[in-house]
Amino acid sequence: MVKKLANKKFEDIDNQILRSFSFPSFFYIMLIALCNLLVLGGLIGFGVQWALGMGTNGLNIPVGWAMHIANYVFWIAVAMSGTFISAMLFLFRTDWRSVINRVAETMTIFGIAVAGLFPIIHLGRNWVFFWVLPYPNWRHLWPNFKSPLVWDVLAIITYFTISVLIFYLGLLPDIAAIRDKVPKGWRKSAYKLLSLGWTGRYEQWREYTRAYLVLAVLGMPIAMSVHSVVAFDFSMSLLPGWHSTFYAPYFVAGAINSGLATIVSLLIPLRKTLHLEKIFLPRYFQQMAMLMVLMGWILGYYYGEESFMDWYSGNIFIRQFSVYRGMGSGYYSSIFWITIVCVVFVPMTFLFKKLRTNLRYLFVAAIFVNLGMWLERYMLVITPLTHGYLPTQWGIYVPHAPESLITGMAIGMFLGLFLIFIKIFPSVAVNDVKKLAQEHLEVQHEDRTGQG
Amino acid sequence: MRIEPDRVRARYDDFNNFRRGLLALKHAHIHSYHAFGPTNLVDVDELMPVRFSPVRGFAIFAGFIGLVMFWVMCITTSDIYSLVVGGKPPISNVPFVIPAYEGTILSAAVIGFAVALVIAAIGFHQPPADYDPHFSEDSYGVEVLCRLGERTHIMDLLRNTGAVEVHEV
Repeated sequence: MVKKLANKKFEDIDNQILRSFSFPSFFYIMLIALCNLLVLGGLIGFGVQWALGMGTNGLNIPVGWAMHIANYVFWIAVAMSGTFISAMLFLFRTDWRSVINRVAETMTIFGIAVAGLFPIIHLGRNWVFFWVLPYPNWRHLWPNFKSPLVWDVLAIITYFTISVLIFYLGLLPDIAAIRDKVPKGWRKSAYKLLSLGWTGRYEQWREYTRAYLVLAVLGMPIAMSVHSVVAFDFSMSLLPGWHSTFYAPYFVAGAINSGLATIVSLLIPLRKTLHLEKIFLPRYFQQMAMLMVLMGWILGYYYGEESFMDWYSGNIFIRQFSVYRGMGSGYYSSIFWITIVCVVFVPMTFLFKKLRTNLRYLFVAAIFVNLGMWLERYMLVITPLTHGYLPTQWGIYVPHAPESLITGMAIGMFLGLFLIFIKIFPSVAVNDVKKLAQEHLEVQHEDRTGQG
Repeated sequence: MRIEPDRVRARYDDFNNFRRGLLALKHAHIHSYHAFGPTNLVDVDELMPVRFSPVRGFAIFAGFIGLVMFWVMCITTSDIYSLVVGGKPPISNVPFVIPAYEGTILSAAVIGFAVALVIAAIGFHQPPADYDPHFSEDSYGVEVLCRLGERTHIMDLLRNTGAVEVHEV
């Protein structure tokens, strides 16, 4: 591996990564068309919801939060893990971070953009969404800073800001490299503007490094807090199935798992279609697969602990809810078990080297892990609402067409934005890969001369 | 009339030679030079004349200000709109930890980033006219501000450390 990267000249690296800027292939155009179709479907679904009201979504007493909120939690999780993984690998000086950080950070930006839509879609009266913001108004409305929902808004705004800063800072040297490569025209002017006059001077790199370190150090706790605060939205209530002290780490572990699965399922097709086989080495995917095994174990522990604590609490309502959720008679028990299989057992197959080195298998398995993570959120949001303390609070929720279409829109929007991004900006951090190649060259040099 | 000092620029296609060039300048007690490169130059930190960056200091200070500001905002808000939730007093500090925590991180990040941009003199300006695009692509560079009579000596020194191109700017 060292040899492979060390033998690459900087110009080769530029050319290989910037190849994605070439004219789009037929497959790419078809994918964009599919994403547009999904977004269009979602807009129709949203139009129906707007015109006829939230009841068209199957939302009614006792289930007031359903798929929109499950989608929100899922996409926030995808977003949370991007910057978290990038910052964590940066602070631990992991060499393969340079290959995946751009995709991870991009995933965060688009993940938040998609997730941010759901609370607004879920509001019902979407046109007054600005009432949640703290601004002087004649109605004497003001955010209640003791509410987890307000904490959530603050956490997401903070996380989004930091993610954009990390993303843009990391992109600056690469934009300058593109600026110097593209011929004169509107694209050059745009890159010139975006590169903020970057010249690669030591003083710029020095401030870049210090600021990146500061942002990475701040990015880790804020990523942890953003999903913990999302968990508080549920765990601060008194409902059996929601009221729990371990929801925050449980949500964070789930978020890292779905983030890893999303990175893997984005990187594998990207590697193939952009011919980046010499940069996205199989070793990196194996390491991500092993991280998914770890997260699968952690989540397996939490699923087990949740059921154990339900029993150990001695609370008749909580025990009864646990049986309802997991055992055969419950309406949603199949979702519970599919989640366990996808999130805990599918990653365990990566323990076999033959399977984790097979990228096609890894891609399909990552999709299943993400499916499991989505179903987990669906189960977590909906099941407790259908089975409260009293039988009069019991009910059944079945998704309707508008919210299903809006769910599809989220996938289309996320993928579409990502596809557009890779045609405008490098999908790999060019300067980091060059640095990696340079370090590998130094290792080779030291091996040859017997130093170091 | 003020006379601009001569500037000499060397281009290296190898990082080790580039480092040797900087080391030679340091050993020759020359302190007015800049380095350029397409990859992070953190590895040559110890060879550069000025290494100090106040970004972390500003970030810590801004974080503290953010902490105080957000906490005060929560308390003031609760004082004006005294909403009793779950039997808690209107001003209950425990839940305010979270907005204060977010405010600390938000302020530290934004100020840290802004200070880095200002100090690195990155703004909405264009690269200078004599900017060499090789430095964002495949080469490292050293630019030395020469005093009177030093130019030839510096050019030789840079050539001897493996520079592929040495010229006046």
